[in-house]
Amino acid sequence: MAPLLEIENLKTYIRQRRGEVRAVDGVSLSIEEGETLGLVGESGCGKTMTGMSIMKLLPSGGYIAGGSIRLRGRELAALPESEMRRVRGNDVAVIFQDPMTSLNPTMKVGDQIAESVRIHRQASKADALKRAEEVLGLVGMPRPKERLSDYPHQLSGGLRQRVMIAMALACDPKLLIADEPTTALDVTIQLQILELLYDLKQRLRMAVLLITHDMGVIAGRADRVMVMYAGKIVESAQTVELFDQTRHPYTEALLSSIPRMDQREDTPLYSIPGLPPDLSNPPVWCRFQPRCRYATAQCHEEEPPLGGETPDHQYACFNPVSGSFERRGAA
Amino acid sequence: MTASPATLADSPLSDAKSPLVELRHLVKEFPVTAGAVLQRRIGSVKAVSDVSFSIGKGETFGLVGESGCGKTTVGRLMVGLEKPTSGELIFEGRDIAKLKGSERRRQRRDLQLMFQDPYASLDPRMRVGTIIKEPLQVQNIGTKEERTARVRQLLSEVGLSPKAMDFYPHEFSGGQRQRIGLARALSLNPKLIVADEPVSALDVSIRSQILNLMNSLQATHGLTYLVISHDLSVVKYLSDRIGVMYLGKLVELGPSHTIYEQPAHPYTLGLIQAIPEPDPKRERSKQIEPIKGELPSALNPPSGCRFRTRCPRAQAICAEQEPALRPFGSQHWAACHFPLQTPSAAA
Repeated sequence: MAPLLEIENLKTYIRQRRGEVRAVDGVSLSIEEGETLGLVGESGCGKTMTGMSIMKLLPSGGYIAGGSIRLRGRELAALPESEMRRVRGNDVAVIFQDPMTSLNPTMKVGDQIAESVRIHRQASKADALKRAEEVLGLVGMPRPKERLSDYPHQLSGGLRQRVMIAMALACDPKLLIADEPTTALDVTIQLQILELLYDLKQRLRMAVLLITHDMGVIAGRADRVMVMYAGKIVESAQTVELFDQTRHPYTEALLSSIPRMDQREDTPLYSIPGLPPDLSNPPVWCRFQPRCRYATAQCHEEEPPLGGETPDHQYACFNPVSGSFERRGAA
Repeated sequence: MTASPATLADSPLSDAKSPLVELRHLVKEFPVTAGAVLQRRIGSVKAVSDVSFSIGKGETFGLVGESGCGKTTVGRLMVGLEKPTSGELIFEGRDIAKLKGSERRRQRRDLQLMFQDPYASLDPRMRVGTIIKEPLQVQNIGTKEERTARVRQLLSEVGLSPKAMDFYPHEFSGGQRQRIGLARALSLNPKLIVADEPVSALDVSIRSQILNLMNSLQATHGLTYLVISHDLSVVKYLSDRIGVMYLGKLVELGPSHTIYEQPAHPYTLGLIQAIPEPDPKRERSKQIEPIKGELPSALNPPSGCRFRTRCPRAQAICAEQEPALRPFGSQHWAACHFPLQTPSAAA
């Protein structure tokens, strides 16, 4: 069966005064129906821009410079805005990190959800509100009918996030892009929201692109993971395999720098020296090279291609880490 | 009514070996007003509601909890940015909350704050050198040359080039700004530093730099830390002992490994279980009972135990009587009528 979403060699650049930032620089990925793909990396790696490219919701100056985005075989990259409006909501929807800035503070919650239904489905106001109530119930909102007339500021962070999820699901999308959906929430509420997303994706057979910097969230919720660094995919594998058989030095370094609850406190954490490269002028060699403890001369000359022993586990590195991942102390 | 411990030996205040600071029944109440014009007082929020604990010299004490638990307010009370509504803040034997004027100003040197947001806590119009020098100027310490020398020394201690003094904050990354914040906190040679969310605003791979730096500075300077964070893994990594707060109350207190391995309070357990660990096999085999519901209103907290509305073990008595902190072994305390383990015999 063809994948639900197929991205091939996507390039998304952002024109800025200082130059053109190559935020996404040749990214390929695919998501199957009902699958959860984790896209993990730190700030500036391009993971959010990848998600926004699928939705064609780019910041000013942003444009798709190359590559293809196929949703159910249909090419989105060159689609005009009028057609894209029908894709959004119906086929693919997005939820963001901070519901307080994503929800309209001057509109009642019910009206915002209904608006989404009316725009993407051309339903009547009454039908749209009915759907809003239905979908609020679906996301576990207590007393959904009463909540319709609440304003976002009257709700807690967790409830606002449920509203955002309800808005995203109102038109039955097959793909949900969740960009740092729980980062701004308390950890006990985070668990509730992650459980809700898992439950919904099972029930609605929905695929999820889970964009986050949190390796713990990825470990628990993603079927497959792609690690991004400086606009590129550096490693891609099934989740258990990524943690057990880490190959890319950046993935390894990232995992070594996280304090874990079960570790002994006196081992210093590994910290990656330096900073990511300037993407308005990226090097033509390996982008992680200046910060990599295994770098060789070749790493400073050529860019390593994505490759691997099996198609299921790919990495872009000339000197991959081998063996199972073990916590290393400071180098 | 809280059952107050009869003697010091019956309370967590006796836990610290050589206490540097003791919080005794600290309360901070904020009035809540409504109405744009008349500002009628409609109630108050006890952000910190009768909190007592002590921190030993050279120790790292971690305060953890979620939104509205009061941990940030405790930090601010500690450094004098807020005045307690009632209770005592004993530092080296003196109640510093009652100090005034020049005495208070001089005492301020000993307790410094490292701010949460490296992007908002440094004045963008001041050069880094001036930012770090400012506390010395305010306290009238040293000559101009001595202050500049001190700034150079502090910058290299936090791993930055002394040249940094001539640059502006926006020219630095988040991690570097956090180092500048640490340098400023160290400038007055404090005895205790309150670090409020020291790494939350930083990228994951940068956090370890700051955590390692905090540990090494503590060893060099004999510092005492109060680390405040919602991130239990950061708190556990840095801290010797941890206090767990919920809606203004201290619900559990103990050594870090005890809190993690043998939590006595259902909220602490819920908090630990909710943390996603970077270990797929463990994450997927977790059998947990997530804490349900939402945080109740701080204006009108639940009667008796404040956690009861979300607690899977709550019974009638939890609504009638607020549980007091009881001992559960060495330095381990929890306030619960139905704890996860048997309390020690009464002292």
